[in-house]
Amino acid sequence: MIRKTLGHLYNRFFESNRRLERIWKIAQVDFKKRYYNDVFGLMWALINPLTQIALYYFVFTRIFQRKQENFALYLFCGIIIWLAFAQATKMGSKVLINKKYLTENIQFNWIDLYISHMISIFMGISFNFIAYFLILLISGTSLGEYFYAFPIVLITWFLLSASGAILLGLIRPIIDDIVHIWDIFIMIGFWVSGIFFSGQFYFDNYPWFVHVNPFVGLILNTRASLLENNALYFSLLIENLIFGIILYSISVYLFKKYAKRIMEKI
Amino acid sequence: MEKVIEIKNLTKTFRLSNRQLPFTKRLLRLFDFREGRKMIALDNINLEIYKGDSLGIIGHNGSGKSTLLKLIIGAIEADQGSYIKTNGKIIRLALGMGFDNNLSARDNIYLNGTILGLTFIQIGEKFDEIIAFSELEDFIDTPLKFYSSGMRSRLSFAIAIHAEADIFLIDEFFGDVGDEMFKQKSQKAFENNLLKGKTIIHVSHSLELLLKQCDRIFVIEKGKGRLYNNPIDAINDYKKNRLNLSKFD
Repeated sequence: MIRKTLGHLYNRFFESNRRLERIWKIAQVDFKKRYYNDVFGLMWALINPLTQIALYYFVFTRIFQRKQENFALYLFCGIIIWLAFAQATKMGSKVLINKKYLTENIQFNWIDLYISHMISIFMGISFNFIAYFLILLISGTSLGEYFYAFPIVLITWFLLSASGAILLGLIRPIIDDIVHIWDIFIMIGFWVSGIFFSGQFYFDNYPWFVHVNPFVGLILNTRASLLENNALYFSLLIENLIFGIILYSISVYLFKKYAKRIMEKI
Repeated sequence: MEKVIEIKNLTKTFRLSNRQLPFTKRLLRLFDFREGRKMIALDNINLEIYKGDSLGIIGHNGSGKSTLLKLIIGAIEADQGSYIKTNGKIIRLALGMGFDNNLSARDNIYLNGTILGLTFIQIGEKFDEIIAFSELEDFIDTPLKFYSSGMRSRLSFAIAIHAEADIFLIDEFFGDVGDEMFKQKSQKAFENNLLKGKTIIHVSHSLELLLKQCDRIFVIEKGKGRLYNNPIDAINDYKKNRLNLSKFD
């Protein structure tokens, strides 16, 4: 009965907007097919992050005897944000190539492909956050004092990742090598985006860097909203959001200007 | 009559990119689309299509038929000075759009149906009909990778005939729809479900099919087009051209 009612509401919601329905279906299938033939299916999306947190806890707290409070969770907050960006941009570079069958056969706003892609990536990271909240609950640790900033952090992450995916998607059909260049960029970014360092380290030593790399601020503010005793960097939060909006607008402008010509090369 | 597609002075030039260029030069010319050799695929095409029209397009391989469809649907950009105006939702009907081998028939019906302009409710209503038409009742939840090519074609066709649009672009649609019996059943369903009251642009090498289904035929040769209001004249012209071409060969 409940299932039937929910199904009916779900259908009614999408009935009013075919565009939304198509975006949702493509995102849903893209996400679903990652786990479709696995015996445990979606459980893997949860098992994976839980194992990661357990591993960080064991390595950093037990082996390296790191004294910082909740260091495994501290690390995990940064890793989720950075790796989700890496995944969104790398997989996003192939969106136009993989979805050529759509652009050639139906009329729609091509930017929807990236919205679907980002929703599918977001479905993946939401399992990471579920695992994170589960650990918080089990360990009795509190959320950050600035949890209200979390939606802004997510919107900024979405804008930056979508922009990266769109720009890479435009470049990849012309220069395949961009994938390897991007791999190096992601590897460097992993070590310099504040996953392993505190915010103070950057402000004391490289204050300019927090304005060059928006992920430093994004990771600092993820911790402020998701983990207790972490300071919020409000000006960075707003600065990153504005940067995200500008970058996204430029990406969409370039996409609209060049996407059709790029498609001729695919 | 209501004009649904208007094409004026349509020209499309492809620039064949030179992938052998060194990496640095390619990087510098990233968004420079002027590079490479030119190839004129369509040259000054003029065409008007009205609501309810069934227009056939014929031409030899490489004559520009598919390019014309891509331009109408907006998948590629025409040269400057070209004019294309469309009115209504257009779908280029292709079998199995977006099919994923790892997903079941059920999932693929929903995915493919959504792409073909159906809502979730419409798909739900037509679900049993699609399964019955494709004769796959016992395999609804089997992943597509275990289907034979015939089963796959039947399923894709069964969904495609329910597509929702104002204008259908059909490119060699019956090339691969399974065995002869299913092909006949499909053609009948296609005529009853899709053709009625819709605007159709039909590209095919099957002259018999075009004669049967089209009111007018547009012949494309080497990027230039001629419109015939009498399909028989168009086919005679096309055959004459083919004969000339084979003599030349």
